[in-house]
Amino acid sequence: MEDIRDLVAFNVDDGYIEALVRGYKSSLLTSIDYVNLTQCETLEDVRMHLNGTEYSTVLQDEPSPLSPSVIAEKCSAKLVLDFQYIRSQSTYPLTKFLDYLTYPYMIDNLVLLVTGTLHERDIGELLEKCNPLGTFPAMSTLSIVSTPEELYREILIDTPLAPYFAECVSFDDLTERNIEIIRNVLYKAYLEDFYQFCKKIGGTTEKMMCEILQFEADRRTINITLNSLGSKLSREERENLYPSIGSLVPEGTWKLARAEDVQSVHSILESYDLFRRLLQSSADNPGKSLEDAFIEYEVQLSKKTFEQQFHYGVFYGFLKLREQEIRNILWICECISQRHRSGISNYVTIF
Amino acid sequence: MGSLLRSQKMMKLRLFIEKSVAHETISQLAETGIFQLSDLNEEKSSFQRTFAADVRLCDEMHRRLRFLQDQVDAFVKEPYMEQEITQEALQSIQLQELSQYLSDLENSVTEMNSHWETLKMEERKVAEHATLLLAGERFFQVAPKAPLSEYGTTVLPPDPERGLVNLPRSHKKGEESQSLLGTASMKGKETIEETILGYYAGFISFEHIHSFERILFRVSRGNAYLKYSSLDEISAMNISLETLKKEWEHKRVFIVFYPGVALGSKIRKICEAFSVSLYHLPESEVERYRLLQSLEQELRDLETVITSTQSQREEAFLELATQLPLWKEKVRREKIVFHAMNMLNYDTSNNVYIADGWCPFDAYSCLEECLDRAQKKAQGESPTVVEVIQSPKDPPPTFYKLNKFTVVFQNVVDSYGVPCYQEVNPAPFTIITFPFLFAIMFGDIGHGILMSLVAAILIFKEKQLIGKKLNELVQTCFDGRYLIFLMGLFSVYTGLIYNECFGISLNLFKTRWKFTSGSSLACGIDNCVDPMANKPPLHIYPFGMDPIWSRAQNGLSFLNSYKMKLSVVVGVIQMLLGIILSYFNASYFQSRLDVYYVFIPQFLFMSCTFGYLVVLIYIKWLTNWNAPSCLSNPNCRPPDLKSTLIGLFMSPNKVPEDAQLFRFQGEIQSVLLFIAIISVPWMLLPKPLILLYRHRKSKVVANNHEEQRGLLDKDSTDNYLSVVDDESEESFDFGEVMIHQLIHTIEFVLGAVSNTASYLRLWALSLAHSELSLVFLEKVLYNTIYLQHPIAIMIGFLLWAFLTVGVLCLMESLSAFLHALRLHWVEFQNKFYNLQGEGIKFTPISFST
Repeated sequence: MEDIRDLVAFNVDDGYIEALVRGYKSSLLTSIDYVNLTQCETLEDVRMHLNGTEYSTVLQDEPSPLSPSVIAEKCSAKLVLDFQYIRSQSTYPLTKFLDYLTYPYMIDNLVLLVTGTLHERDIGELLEKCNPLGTFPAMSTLSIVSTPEELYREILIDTPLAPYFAECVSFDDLTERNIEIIRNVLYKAYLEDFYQFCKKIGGTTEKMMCEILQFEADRRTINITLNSLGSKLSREERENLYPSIGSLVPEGTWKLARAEDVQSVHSILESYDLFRRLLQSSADNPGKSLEDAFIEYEVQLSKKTFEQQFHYGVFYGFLKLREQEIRNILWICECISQRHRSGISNYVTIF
Repeated sequence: MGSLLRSQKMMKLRLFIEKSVAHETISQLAETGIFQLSDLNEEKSSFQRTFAADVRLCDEMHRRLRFLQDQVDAFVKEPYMEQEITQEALQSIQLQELSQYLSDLENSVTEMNSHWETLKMEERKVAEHATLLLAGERFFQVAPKAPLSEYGTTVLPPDPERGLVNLPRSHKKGEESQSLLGTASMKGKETIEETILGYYAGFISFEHIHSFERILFRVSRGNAYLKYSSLDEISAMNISLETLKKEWEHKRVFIVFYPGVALGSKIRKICEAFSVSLYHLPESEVERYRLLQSLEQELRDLETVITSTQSQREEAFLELATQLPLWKEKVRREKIVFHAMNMLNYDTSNNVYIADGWCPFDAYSCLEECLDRAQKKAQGESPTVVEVIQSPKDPPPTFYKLNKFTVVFQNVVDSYGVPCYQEVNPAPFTIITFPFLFAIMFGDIGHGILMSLVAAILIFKEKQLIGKKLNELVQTCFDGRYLIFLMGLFSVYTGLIYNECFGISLNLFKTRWKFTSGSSLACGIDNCVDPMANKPPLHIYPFGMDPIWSRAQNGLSFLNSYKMKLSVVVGVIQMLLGIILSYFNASYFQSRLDVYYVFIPQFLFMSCTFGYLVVLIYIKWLTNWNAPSCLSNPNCRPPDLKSTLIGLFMSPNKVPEDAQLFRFQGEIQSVLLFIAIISVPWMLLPKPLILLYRHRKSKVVANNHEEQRGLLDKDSTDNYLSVVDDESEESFDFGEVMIHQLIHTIEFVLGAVSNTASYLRLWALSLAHSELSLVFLEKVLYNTIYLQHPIAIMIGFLLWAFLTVGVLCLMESLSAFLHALRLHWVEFQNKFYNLQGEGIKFTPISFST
């Protein structure tokens, strides 16, 4: 029933933007482009090749010599521009959805800034490193806070992250460990909230996005477990950080919270088809970590969003694919500039 | 016309160019624009090619030139003379030197800019500081004064309701803190003041001020007080601020007071985060005055420096501006040359470049001259060798020698599809048929004259307008000026035939009908002895429609019948022309199969059905239905041609006696129908069958060959066999050919009906046009004239004129244009054009844009 509603009414508000995004998607670099890029000798060659793609105008006014970071920066600037254009064209549920997409970047920026100020780095320098998709008001004033309570009261209260932060206000001070916990708590709250939002939208969006978000939650759960093995994090604390959605809930998370070493984590995951496959693929290729397998699967999911019409998943998919593309370009450029030819093909082909 | 009917003969050449001459040769070829290079390095990506580095250099220079142009555009306001671009000037520039020069220029300009920026920044700072001092004075002045207790609290004036209470400091913070300051400075109690209240003053941009205020409030928990004002409010400014005025519109002066040192450092951080510029604001009036004096002096000094720098910059940029176009052209040309050279193949054993490409047959001598010139110029040792490739693999490109008149019509054809090499080009026919079909739909003398006048003006101003950047609509009209001119002239002609001028019928030759009191119907002027008889005139109106028809009640049905028939006649003739052109194609390419089994049955089918209809129309037109012999015969009545046409298919040999137009009509119709029916299988079957037969025969021959060879050498035959098999399997698939032919046949037979019907749009649009202009004329113009009020007439006329130009001349003409386009692309061209797929346009390397 809800699918039919999508079919009938989707294009009223969101048809144009969906078309736009599909256009952007078709301009993503193809495997032929990547093959050509890997054959480049210098970054100037990369520029020359990119001139024949969607990125043609991005680099044309950049003075030589180029550096990989400049190329990546310019490419992400384009992504930000495109995203903001889409955002400015959208109407209510989609606008909110697109805002949700930017929250992870906000969390990352927040953590980056707080950690940076903890180490007394220059705030201007830190701001440059922040992802422009995740800017929030008063970002630049982050350096004045010294406790989580201040952080909440003075900075976050104005941002959409405020409701997610409620649980962290009780921390005494900002240590690195606490910041890491804050990050995970925020992320957990964000994922659950976003999940509920997608459920509320319903229809194809729900189907598409819930699968993606569940995977994202599982991935976080596994990563938290792996990273906290051997740390001082207690079992309850660890379990507290697991998002309450995902295919691992409840049995998997219960077991994972009690896992003591990598081996036991793997054996718990073995009973899930998807993770067994991912573990297998990372085990088969020596250079490939579990994280790489996760990224590949994420790209798969993002690509899948484009196979159906009339839903918001395409926006998520587009953002993720473009991001991956920029990471690929950066990787190839770094390999070229460091003359590290052997690893150059370790990018994730999208199309 | 000969050269337009078929594309120019092309020859494929291979040039062997000495290494040192290559660049010069390519640039000479690009100068003349007669040689289309084939890419010999297709498998290489753009950065793997030989001259990738040079192309990159050009790109880099382009970037620098763009940068310089931006700078020039931003700083040079007055008009300047651009240096003329001449061959000599272009030749004299060396690319490497220019590149070096440009990079130096870029550096010096950037340096100059950064210097300028610092100067400007300095000026802004000083000016802002001075302004702040003035504003600070206001801040302090308006503060109310109150006594201060020893603990830094204020004693409020007695309040009748509350009595004498010492309120905590957080209440009514604003007035308090200011008054504190005021009193502190007056009494000189620095010690107390410093420990209690500090303040910062500065400039902040307007959009940040609210979030700034909010965060101040949160951080200080309401203990900081912010006051700000816009710069307009500070009127007493004796500093010239013209340059900064704009920037300052978005800025506000603020002062913030706070208690405590810890909060102070926090607020300082916040100020930094908001990129606020803070300035020193001394407490005492004397100090402020002294500081202001020194700042004003500084500002004056800065201004003199700025003016002198400004004039220097302008001079430098002005000089740059004159040179820029020349450099741009040079770089553009070099880039074209290097792109072309990237398509060449380098022969390492002989140190020569190999260039493959197409050249028009006629331009061969020109090409040779060109090569010669290049060799002399570059002082090459050996001349460039030209080799003609006899049987090239790729199809030759299509090239027409066009002039400014024919190019429009060729574009009309090309937008549908580029003609194949040496295929019959519809463009020369389009020159006449296109405006004619348009005019049938747009027939009106007045509108036609307006249209051709506009086009004539564009043609007249051609020299001034060409190459200029025009608005999109004007540009479209300008590009099609000759087409529009012809369309206008033809519309005048058809307008004369329809006898319509802005919807009014002209009585040019005196109408041949008159109304008499004897009858409600009209009778001919020279044949009105008995008015009741309503005899037609003996001598008819000499040209076009008699104007009486516009007033006649049956005028519309008369015109409709005339225009409908006209549409069918024009349509059938144009389609027959298309079919005949397919014969020219077939005979030119010596395809007897297409002549005998495609052209002939198609022609017969078309002429026996709708060609016959045209003949019937003419017979009906030419018969004098009012002749005495006819009037006396009860069977001599104008027949309904539609039912005759239907009768042709249903019962060809039985024609009702009162519908017979000529003798033996039934027999002739039977024969025609028989031919038409026969030609359908004729179109369908023989061609694929003959192709199959030929294919079988060639295979048998090949097999025989193989058997003979098999005795001699087994290995070679295996190879040979496989080659033959591959080729034949690729080239022939009977099913596919049959289906292809079936589709073509069905399309043609059904198309004959539907295309003829499609030509009726000529009538429909013509009807719409004349009715619309009549409606505007009567409802808008005549109705207001009947009111006999000058203003009403004026409004009515203006409205009518606007509607005539806007709706009739622009919108209606656009729709008529599109329909004419469709009739050409679909109904006319599908008979013969692009049946074997599209051709390739000739794109020579050329410097011209």
